[in-house]
Amino acid sequence: MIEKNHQGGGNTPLTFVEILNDMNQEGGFSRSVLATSEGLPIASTPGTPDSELASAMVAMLQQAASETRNQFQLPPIDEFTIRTDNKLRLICRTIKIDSELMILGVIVPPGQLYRRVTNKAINRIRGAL
Amino acid sequence: MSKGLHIPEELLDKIEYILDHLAEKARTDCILLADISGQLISVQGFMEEGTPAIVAALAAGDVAAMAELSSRIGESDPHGSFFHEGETKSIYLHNISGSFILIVIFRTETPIGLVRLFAKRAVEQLVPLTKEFEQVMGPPKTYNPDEFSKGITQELEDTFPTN
Repeated sequence: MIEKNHQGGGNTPLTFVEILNDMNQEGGFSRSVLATSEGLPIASTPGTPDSELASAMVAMLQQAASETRNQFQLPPIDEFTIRTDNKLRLICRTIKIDSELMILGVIVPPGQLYRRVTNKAINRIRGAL
Repeated sequence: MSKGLHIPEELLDKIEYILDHLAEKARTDCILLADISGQLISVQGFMEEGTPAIVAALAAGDVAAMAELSSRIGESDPHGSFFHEGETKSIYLHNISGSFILIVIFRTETPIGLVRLFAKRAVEQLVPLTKEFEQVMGPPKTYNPDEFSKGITQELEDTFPTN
């Protein structure tokens, strides 16, 4: 048997939280969450207690989007959006890596661009796995 | 720390590499890998409280009970995972092909999705190693659903007699 010491992590070069923080800062996003397709939180910024709820919600939206895609026989989903009256947007990007499907959800202020910044974050998420 | 299992170093190195990666990525406190009977194979990290050998043995009991429970609700595959959420520490258990038990102990601040994501990846890498393990150690010999079922039924009848 091997026993090996490990200091509780946290020293990884790039954590998911760091990636989301960088993305929020660069894109001017107020909030972001990375969740599994089952709705479990992987990371969120800011780290609010309702990140579990946010993860579950984006996963539920993803399931609805996926069902819609199946019904309409559309190609694979890249993103889906909820837009509010005041032009705030919840952008959800799907990330497929091997057999894993993850969802990146971001709150984007009115008029703010998001594609390039979220693409960059997705690439970094892929690299962190 | 010898626990009576003599596993080839090469196999242990592969296991250690996988557990190291899981610990680093999922920011866990402690990861244990045991055989299905609850004998420790490898420990990664620290346990602030408790003894790894006892935790592994208890986990083996939990995995056997959960396999029986899932079969009673009509689930045919007993090799699943389950998760206990505590106030400060949580435990994620995964029955790997009926040969290994992966036990991940982590703080409740660590998102469960993070643990599950990387644990699933670790399990995918550990599955092929169960074959190697069985070649060396022999086939798993603990969990027998019929025996377990008879035993638990008897225990339940003894505890709550029907007549």
